[in-house]
Amino acid sequence: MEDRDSGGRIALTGDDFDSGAYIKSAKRRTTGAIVTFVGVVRDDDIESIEIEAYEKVAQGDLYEIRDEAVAKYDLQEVTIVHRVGNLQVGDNILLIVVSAGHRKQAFSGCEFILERIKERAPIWKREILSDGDRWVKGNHEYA
Amino acid sequence: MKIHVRMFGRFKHQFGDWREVDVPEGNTPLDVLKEVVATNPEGYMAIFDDQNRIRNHIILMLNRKRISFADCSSVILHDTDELALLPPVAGG
Repeated sequence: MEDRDSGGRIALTGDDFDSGAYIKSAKRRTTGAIVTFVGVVRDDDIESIEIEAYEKVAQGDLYEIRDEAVAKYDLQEVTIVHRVGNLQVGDNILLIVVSAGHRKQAFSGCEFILERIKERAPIWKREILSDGDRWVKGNHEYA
Repeated sequence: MKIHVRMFGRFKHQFGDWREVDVPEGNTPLDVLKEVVATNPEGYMAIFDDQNRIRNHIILMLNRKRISFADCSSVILHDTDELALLPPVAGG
């Protein structure tokens, strides 16, 4: 599921991404800063990680988050690619690339997008262990 | 009427991916949730607290739109509606 009409790309996909290509395409003549975030599968004594999403809702949320960030921080180009499916340690999970006229807008915009995804987008992670599995606790979950 | 109930995350493993629940006209999302967990005491405790209230961290969606807990007991469902039960999100 994806959209390239905005210049950037918004996608939930099983495929890996080439962050360099998105950084290159985020640049305009008026761009002064490009900030990139890449989330990676960390080895917490796991064999792999399974990422699932309520895809149609998550896709809509990513659009809304992009639009909020563009309006709030005057961003130029935004790419958000969140992977789903089975990923191995070291694999890329999430790419956020934002461009803006100035660095503060770009840093703030990138962080805003990341935090909004973590609190809102219906995406879950299940860690596959050698002797079973465990769900990664939600960002707003308590016992 | 038939309501399509979808589960995600850990709820999918607890209750299955989805199920179609046949309930009388005039039922609310809360009625459907209670029907879903009626034969699953462990599942009931995963969704409801000891005051029989939906646990705070659970997210409910009706036809892919988030609904509040208040709506859960007041919105009237219609045939073929899709109700989704989501655990706290953990993307990023």
